[in-house]
Amino acid sequence: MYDFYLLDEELTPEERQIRDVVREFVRKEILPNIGEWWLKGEFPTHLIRVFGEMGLLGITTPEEYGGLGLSKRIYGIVARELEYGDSGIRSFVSVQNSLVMYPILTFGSEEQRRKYLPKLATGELVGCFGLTEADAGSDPGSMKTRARKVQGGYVLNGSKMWITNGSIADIAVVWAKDDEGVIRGFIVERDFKGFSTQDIKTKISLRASVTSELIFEDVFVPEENVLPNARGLKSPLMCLTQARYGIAWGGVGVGMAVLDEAISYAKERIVFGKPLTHYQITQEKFADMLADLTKIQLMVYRLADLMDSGRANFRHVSLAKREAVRTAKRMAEKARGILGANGITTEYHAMRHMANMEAVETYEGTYEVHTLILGEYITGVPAYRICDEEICGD
Amino acid sequence: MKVLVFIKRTPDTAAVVKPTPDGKDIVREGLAFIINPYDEFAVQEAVNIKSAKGGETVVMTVGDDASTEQLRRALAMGIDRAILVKHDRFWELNPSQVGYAIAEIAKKENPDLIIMGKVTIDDYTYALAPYVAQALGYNLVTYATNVEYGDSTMKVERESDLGKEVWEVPYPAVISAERGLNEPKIPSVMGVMKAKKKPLDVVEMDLPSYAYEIVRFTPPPPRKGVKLLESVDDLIRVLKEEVKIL
Repeated sequence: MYDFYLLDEELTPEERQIRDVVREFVRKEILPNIGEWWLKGEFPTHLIRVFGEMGLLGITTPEEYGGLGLSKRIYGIVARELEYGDSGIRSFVSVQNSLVMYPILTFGSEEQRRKYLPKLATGELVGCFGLTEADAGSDPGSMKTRARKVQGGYVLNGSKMWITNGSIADIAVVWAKDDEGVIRGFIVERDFKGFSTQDIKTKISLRASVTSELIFEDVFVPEENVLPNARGLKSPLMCLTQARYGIAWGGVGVGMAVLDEAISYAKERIVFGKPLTHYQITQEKFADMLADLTKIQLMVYRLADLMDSGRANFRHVSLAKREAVRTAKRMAEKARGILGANGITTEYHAMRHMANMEAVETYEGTYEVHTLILGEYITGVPAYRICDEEICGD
Repeated sequence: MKVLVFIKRTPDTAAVVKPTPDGKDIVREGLAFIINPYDEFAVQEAVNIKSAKGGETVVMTVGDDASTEQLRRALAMGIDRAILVKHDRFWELNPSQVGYAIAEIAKKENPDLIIMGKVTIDDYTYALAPYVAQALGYNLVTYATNVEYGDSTMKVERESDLGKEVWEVPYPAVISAERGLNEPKIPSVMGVMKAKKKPLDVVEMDLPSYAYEIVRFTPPPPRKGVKLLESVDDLIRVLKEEVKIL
């Protein structure tokens, strides 16, 4: 595990122990099997309760709701260690923590918190997050899903696409526009009439993860399942900021995984009578990878401090998600090359990570969207909006 | 039932161990350390006993400050409290010195059962459990692979080259854990957080002196590369002329 600038020395003894138990869990339960799960397109549902027992669900959720009340830094470390195994595994944990438990905690009523959070923390309940639609990805404000006010609640119609955990979820946190066109949040339970899901089976990325379409046909959602404190697009975007933060750490996990694997392979692999590590071209690749990894490690550690001290905003997270995932993808590609033909199999990890990074670079704000967020921050011009008269002058 | 578990901080099984330049120790800096794997079976066994029968579990080690890492891990696995018998160069101790420390702690704690690994992977003496049982006058069963805990006795299975033995043994007793006794569980994040709040007492103790000295550590010779031979005749020639066993 490359930690060239000894950043993990910043961790407290307990934080190091948490890192070590998660690392051990990944070595024992994930790495020996992940290649097969990925090939078969299976998410290991038998591990969901184990995640709960391990304390990986509800890491930052307060203890009174069944969580552990730990820091964002620990949440990041856990995401990193899990993604060392696979992005699909980390995605499951990210969704449960950041996209389901976080909105219920932040926007939910006290009754909703008490009803759902403890069971989400144990893994007894699985959640998913329905924001993206087939035609509304980077532009979620253009969503078509509607929530019509009726007596005692709302009726939902529409569909959500590319939803992690969709078909295995017991509850879905769904975002839809009300009669006034305001985005509202709803907790839709699996057995609500008119709610169905369909898995997307043809993925060649994140294969060890469930990705589904959520379909709402006149689904009645009672008033008690409406998130009372969520209003407007800002609410789901706040959730995404939390999840994107974990993804940035996940990218570091991929970087560490592919560098570890490539180095141990290159030491053993004999080419023209000497190990691959003896060649300058290979050494240059490793130097580049170590530099890349160290840069994103430094970045996420600093971001964790900003998050924990309440000084981070969504732009800081955008930069980290954008850089960590792109860097991890580039590192995985280099590692795959070092592994030669072996690198294209699931016996090794690099290409699986590389393929995963394609999805991870697209979900939770594409590379381009984060570029535009940063572009707006730097220039003051929101380039992703359709030409604004004031700015474009026409 | 009250159970006392002894553990030792040992180098990780995956670590590459190198001798120091003077050959009298191994390079410890930068080395990863774990709970001796056989001792981890003992820890898990104590946790299992407590969850089945109640009582109290105590873990102890003879070690330096860094050994608290291993004690904390045992606490994270579910042990109630820990005792560190302080010794800064514990790896130089003889089994009789460590056994003395365990016996002294046991005299104060009065456990019904003492469990430890059958051997530590760094010194391979297999001597500790017999020493402790002898010092305390406790019953002893070594290499336990399965135990049924009754109220006044326990049935202990041990495997030998001759087959399986089942012993019925009254408490108090010492058992040494063999692989297969249980499957140690990875501690949870909750376990780690709880462990932080559990008591860990540090004890100073004068250990009996022992006139022995480690003279030299020598690493095993590096494995030679594989040699592919063309024919059976070649094989016979190599076995005769090079290996000289024919």
